[in-house]
Amino acid sequence: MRTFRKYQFGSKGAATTKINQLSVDEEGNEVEHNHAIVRLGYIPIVQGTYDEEGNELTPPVLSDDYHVDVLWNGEPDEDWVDFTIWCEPLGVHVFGSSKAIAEWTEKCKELHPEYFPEPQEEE
Amino acid sequence: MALYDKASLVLIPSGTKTGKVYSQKPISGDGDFDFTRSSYATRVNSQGLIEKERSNLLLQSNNFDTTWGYTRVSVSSGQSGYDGTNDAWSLISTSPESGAASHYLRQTVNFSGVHTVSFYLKAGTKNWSRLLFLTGSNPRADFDLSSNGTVHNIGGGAITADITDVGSGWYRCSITAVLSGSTPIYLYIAQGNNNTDFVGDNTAGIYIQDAQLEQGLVATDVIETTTSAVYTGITDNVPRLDYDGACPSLLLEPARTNFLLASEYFDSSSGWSRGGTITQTDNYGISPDGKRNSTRLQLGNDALVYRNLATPFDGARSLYVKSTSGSGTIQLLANHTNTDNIFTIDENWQRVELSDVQQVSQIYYLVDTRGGSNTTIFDIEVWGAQYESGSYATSYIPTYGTSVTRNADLCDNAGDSTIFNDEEGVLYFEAASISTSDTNDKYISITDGTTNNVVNINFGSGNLIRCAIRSNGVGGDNLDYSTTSFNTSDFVKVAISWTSTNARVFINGTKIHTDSNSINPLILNVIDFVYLSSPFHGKVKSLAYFNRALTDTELADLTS
Repeated sequence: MRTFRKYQFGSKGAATTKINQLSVDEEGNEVEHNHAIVRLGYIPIVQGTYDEEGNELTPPVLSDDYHVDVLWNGEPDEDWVDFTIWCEPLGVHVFGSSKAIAEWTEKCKELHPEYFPEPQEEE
Repeated sequence: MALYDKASLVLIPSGTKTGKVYSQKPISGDGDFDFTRSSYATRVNSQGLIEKERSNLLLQSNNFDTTWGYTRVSVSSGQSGYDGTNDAWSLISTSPESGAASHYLRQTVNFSGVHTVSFYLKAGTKNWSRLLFLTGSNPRADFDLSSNGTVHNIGGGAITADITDVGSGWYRCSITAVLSGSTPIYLYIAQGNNNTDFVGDNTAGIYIQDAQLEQGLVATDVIETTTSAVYTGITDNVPRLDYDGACPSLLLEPARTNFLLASEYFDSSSGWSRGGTITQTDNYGISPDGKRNSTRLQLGNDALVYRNLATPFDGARSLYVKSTSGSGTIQLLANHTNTDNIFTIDENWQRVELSDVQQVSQIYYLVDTRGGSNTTIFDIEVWGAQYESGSYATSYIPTYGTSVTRNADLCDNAGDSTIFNDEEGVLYFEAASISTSDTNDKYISITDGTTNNVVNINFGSGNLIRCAIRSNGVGGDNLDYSTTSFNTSDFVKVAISWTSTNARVFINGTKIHTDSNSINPLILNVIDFVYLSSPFHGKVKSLAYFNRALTDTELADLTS
């Protein structure tokens, strides 16, 4: 079972340190891991605007935090829990594992129901 | 004896299952490969169509007496269905608590992006039904289930709706919209056109069968579910047999991300912008995936469709495109001031690609006709837009509201010590590199599980083919031959034959190298499409291992 989670770190360096630790076992030996990792970087929290030729009209506002997505081979590493973030499931990056995306979405709804407002019943 | 009979291990990609690529020899299964990708993907199937993962995200898709919610309706199984079974259900209005009201079945889902919900429906004592997503402006459509079978009142932000006559009074009815978060799906018994309210009487109703919710713009073949969603097709860890002719090849690709949030729906609600004169028709024609989900764009000479990317980068842009009639040139993928994006198209689908764009910007242009005479055709169909990092385009990654990463394919771990001979042998490989512009090493290897004893073939940067043997940790003095004389983006047949005293290399029927000092690896026990963390990326048509050296004539035949 693969598990998809999103993370943010205070800097690119902090993220890199954490990622590199996945390649070292408890005795300090290099090991291969088979988690999939995508560095999203300092993502725009407000999109820039551009004219039709690509000229910038207003610059994007970038996050102060460095973002990383991981598709864990199994359960997420417990040492990463403090860096976990949750967000609305539309317009973001995901890994193309439908089961993992569904699990992440259900977990997101469980922890943050505010991202999943229940619509009024249609009568 | 035929060469096939002499081989100890033969892989001609044809048999797979999730997590496994089967070899033809040995029949014991000891020569089968493990396979991982951990994400969905696409391939070109034997019909020449792009095949994706498909899913049914609704639970209990044809068990309407559980999981589903009911408002003034009851259900009853055992009804005559569209498929000749008695698996259909009646959906009947119940007696009123007070006066006219709506009557519906519902299920809430937690999915986002472009989705299509479908039901098979048949008129009962009522002729009308409504499908509705309770999200945003409540995308909806009304369906007339009488003999005409027509769709009405497509609204509330619905992308499209469809009704298809499937015979015996049954219709498949569907509606497509962009979902976000928690979304109840409603199926109404309706009174008439744009009217869902009536006085229930325990008899008025319709017949229903096989509900389905899936990503994308159209309903596909039915997938039955019970307590969980079901995914089929090219889903996690399913190896891809890719066809570009009669015979398939095993497609192995690196991880890539399609950064475009909506690759098949080009409306402003999915983040696409436009300028100039454009008439857009969704679900116009049959796309490369065989479904009626292409987008027709009728363009003026001032038209552009584009979207901003969050972060500019110099990547590979691609798009499936055809003209609706005739042939001509058109500027696609980049701004009209470029000159490297003028493509000739005709009435056949083709995938156009653009890398190293002259003017790098954060804008992906689906089309830009403002370049004067550069564009001579103004009525086109488009589908499958992709923008990925890297110098070449890889297989299509569909997106429906998020950017999506397809993980890397890895195929390894075939064989054991009983298959391999420690004294001599032949490694044969027919494959094409994923791209000559890929600068990574791409290996097929036989090893002892370490780097000490190795036979490998590397499709490297450019057209490099490197064949090497390491024996007891010693390379260099043993076979280490490189050539760039063959176009590795085409299929190339390579064989290394070795004994305890020499090694020979054959490519495409010709002996191109002999190393008279090379000695054999001491131990070999596994074949992998990877070596030193450098997996093979490309298409594999065949692989074979022989546990003894072959003659020059045999090697020439093998590689011809």
